[in-house]
Amino acid sequence: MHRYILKRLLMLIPVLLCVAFVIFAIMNVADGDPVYSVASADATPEELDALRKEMGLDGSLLTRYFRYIGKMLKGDLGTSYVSKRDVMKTYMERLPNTLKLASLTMLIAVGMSIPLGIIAAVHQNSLKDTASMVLALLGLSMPNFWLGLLLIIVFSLGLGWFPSGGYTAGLKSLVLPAFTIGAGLAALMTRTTRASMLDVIRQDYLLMARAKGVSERKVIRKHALKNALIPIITVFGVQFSNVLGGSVLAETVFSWPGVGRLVVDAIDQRDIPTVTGALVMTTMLVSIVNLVVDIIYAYVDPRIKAQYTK
Amino acid sequence: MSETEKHILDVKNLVVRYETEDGIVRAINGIDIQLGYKQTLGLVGETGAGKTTAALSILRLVPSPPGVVECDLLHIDGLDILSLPDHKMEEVRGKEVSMIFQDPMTVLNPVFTVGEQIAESLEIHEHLSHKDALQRAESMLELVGIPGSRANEYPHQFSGGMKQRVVIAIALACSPKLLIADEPTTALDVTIQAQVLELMSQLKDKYDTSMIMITHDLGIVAEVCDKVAVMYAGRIVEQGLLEDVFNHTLHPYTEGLFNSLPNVKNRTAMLKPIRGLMPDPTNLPSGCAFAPRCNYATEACLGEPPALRAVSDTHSVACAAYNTPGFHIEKGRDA
Repeated sequence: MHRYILKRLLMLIPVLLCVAFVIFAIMNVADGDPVYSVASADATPEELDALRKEMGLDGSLLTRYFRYIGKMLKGDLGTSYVSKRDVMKTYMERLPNTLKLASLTMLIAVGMSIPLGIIAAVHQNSLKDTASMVLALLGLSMPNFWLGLLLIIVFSLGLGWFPSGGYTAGLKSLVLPAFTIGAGLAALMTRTTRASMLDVIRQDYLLMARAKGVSERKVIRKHALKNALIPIITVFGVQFSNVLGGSVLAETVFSWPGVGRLVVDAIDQRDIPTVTGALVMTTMLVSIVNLVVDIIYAYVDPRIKAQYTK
Repeated sequence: MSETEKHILDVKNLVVRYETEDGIVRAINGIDIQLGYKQTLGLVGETGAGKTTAALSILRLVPSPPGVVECDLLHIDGLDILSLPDHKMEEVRGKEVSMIFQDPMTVLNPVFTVGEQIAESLEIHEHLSHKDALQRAESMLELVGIPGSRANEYPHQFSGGMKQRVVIAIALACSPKLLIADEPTTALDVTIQAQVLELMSQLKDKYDTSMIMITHDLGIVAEVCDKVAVMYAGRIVEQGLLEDVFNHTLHPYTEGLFNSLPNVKNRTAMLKPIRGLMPDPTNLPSGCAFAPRCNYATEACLGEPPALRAVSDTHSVACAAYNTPGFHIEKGRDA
C-alpha cells in the first residue's frame, strides 16, 4: 500500500509538468502581447524588448516553459503583471477561503444526499422515492446563481439570519454560498446513492445478514451501504475537485474571495502568471484529491486493495 | 408435553404467493411440515417447486411486497413465529434457526472479513464483545477445517468450497436448534460436495441440530435424511420416512424423479426424463398439477388437487389414482 501511494505521488510530477505545459501553451496563443499591459503607451521598441526580457517573455515557448518549470519546482510561480505581487502568496491567501467553502459544501451535499438516496432506494417506487427524486431533479436543474439569489432574498434580506455576502461573519457567511453549491451536488449524489444502493439491495449477502438475525437498520447501514460506497465516493471525489477549482458563479453572487474569482479576474486582466500559477496549483490539489479517493477505495473494498498491492 | 412441543418445526397450511404486475405467482399452495428433534427432513423437487420459498417463509424472510405469506400455524420449538414482533424475530434468526444458502459465491459480504461475518451472529445473539466474538469465530473456522489465522481474510481470498465452509460456520456459530440447508452443495464440485456433506452431518450430530435439507439430488437425500417430502408446484405430493419414499415409492412424480437418474448397471439405456415442464405458477391447472405430465393420469385427476392421504403411519401421498383399488405404479411393482 505504501509503495502504491509513493508510486502515485511520483506520477504526480509528470502530470503537473504536462498540465503546466498545456496551460502555458494556451496562454501563449491567447492574443495580445502582455508587455503592452505593463509598458507605458509611448515606450520605444527597445524599451519594450527590455521589458520583455525583464518579464521573462523573451525566447521561444520551450525556453520560457523550462524557465518557468525551474522556478515552479522551487515554489516560485512568478509575479502578477497587475498587482505586482507574488502569485504563490496571492493564491495561498485565497486557498483557505476556497477550502473552507468546499468543505462545508461537501458536508452539506453528503449530509443531504446519502440519507435521501438510501431512503429512496429502500422504499423504491414509493412516495418517499418519488419525493426524493423530484427533489434531486429540482436541485440538478436549478441554476446555481438563481438559487443563490433566492437564498439571499429569503435568509439574508428577509429573515436576516445570514449575511448576503463577504467573509467577515465567520462560519455564518459560509452557510449560504455552501448551500447554494451543495444543493446541486447533493442532487447528483442522491441519484448516485440511490442507483448504487439499488444494485446492492437485492444481493444474496443481505438476505444472509438478515438470516443471521441482523436488524434491518444494520443490514442497510452496514452491509448494504459499505458495498454501495464506491460509486458514491467516485462522484464525491469529482465534485470535491470541481469545488476546489472554485465555483465562480457562487463566489460572484456572494462576493466570496475564493480561487475561482481569482482566476476569472486574472483572465480578464490578461494576468498570465496568476492564471498559470493558480491553475497549476489547482491541478496539484485535484490530483491529490484523486489520490486520496483511490486510497479510500482500498479501505472500503478489500478487492481493490488487493489490486493495488499486486 | 403438548402436541407442538414434540416437534422442532410445525407448519400447517403454508401458502405463499407473489403478487406481481404480471399476475399472482402461486409459489406454495398449502403445505404442512412436521419435523421432530434431531431429525433431518429432505425437501426434494425440481427447480421452481417452491423449496427455497418454503425455507424463507419459515424464517419470515420472503420479500414483501411482492410476497404474501399465509399460514395456519408456524411453530419453531414451540414458539409461535407468526405472532412475533420484528425485533423478536431477529432474535430467532441465526439463534434458533439458521440457514445455509445455495450459492456461497454470493452470500458472503465481499467487504467484511470472514471472521467479522462469523462474529456478527455471536455479537448479536450471545452478546459477546467484538474481540471475544472474533476469537470464537476463529475456533468456528477451525471447526469447519479452515485455519483460524485466515479469519481476517476476505471472501474473495477463498475458494468455493472454503466459502461454503465459512457459510456453514456462520450458520452454526450460535448452535441453532434447526438448520435449513438450501441446496448447500449445488454450487460446488462433486469432490467438495462429499466433504461438505460429511462436515454438515458431523456438526449436526455434535450440536444435536435438526435439519431441513433442500435439494434436488436424491443421492444426498439417501445419504443424510431421515424423512423425505417431495414437492411439486408448491405442494407436497409424497412424504414419508426415507425407506418409505425410496423403497415403496407411491407418487408418479417421485417415480419420475428416480427414473431420471442414470442407471450405472445399464449404461446403454437412455435416460428417462419426465416429459414436459413444470406448470407456470401464475396459471396452475385446476386439478393435480402433475397430471399433464403424468403417465397414469385419468379424467379423475383434472377436478380438484388431490389431498395428502396416509397410506401408513409414516407414509402419505397426494394422488387421485389411489382411489382406484389395486392401483400401483411401475416402480412399486419392481420393489
